[in-house]
Amino acid sequence: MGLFNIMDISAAAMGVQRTRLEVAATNLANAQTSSASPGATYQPLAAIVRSVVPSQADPSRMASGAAEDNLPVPVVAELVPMNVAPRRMYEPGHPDADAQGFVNYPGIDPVSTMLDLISISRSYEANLKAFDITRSLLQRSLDIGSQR
Amino acid sequence: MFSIDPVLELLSRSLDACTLRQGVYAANIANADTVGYRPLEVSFEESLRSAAQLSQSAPSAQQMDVLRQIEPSIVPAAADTVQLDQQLALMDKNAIRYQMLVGGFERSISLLRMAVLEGREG
Repeated sequence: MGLFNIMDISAAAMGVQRTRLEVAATNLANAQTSSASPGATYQPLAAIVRSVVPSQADPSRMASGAAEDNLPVPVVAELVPMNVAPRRMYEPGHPDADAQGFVNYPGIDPVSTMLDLISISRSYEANLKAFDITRSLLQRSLDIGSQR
Repeated sequence: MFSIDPVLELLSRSLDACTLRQGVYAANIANADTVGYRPLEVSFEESLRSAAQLSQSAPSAQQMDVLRQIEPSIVPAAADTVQLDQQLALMDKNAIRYQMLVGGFERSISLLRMAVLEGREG
């Protein structure tokens, strides 16, 4: 039974938020990459996060009977392309421009990506705070029995 | 956990519940962004209350057995979405309670120590 497992939950969540951050940053970084054909345009990615209950996912942990193994842990299940249509800009002088003078850019919405970044950083902070609180409890229980 | 003192037993049961509650709040915060996640809660006080009623009628020899039946359990919370600030506030409150219980634990142990040492300074 342990506070250690609880710290693992918060740590796993911070890992998930970091992956989401990497995905959002990659999307934002590639927002201005152009291409000549719509099919070759960079496809923005989305991180799919799922909750996994360790005791259900791994039968060997079922036997341990620890209550913390029944608590859901977030994992990044997969990174999938968002399948959005490319943004077409009229730039006739551009080397990637087609016959009509249009250049294909990835269909990334910078505003919603920035909002994602804010929510990611809020979640990360909340998990870090939770981690800190659990750590302080662990530290406090280590003091049991020490002479004062 | 086996203990010789009903107070220690009760304190350790409550500490178990506090630990589980800490885990549940951590899991709620961790899964806040998962689509379709329902927050969880820990039910413990009901079990405690029914044990308190049982122990009033039980003979003193069975008091410890009644105490050992107190068990925290994970139940779905009333709200259907996670609110980060609220969960953090609950977690902070729970942490204070945990520290309070550890303090009570230490005090009980120091009373036992006093009895073992017959009041002399050890």
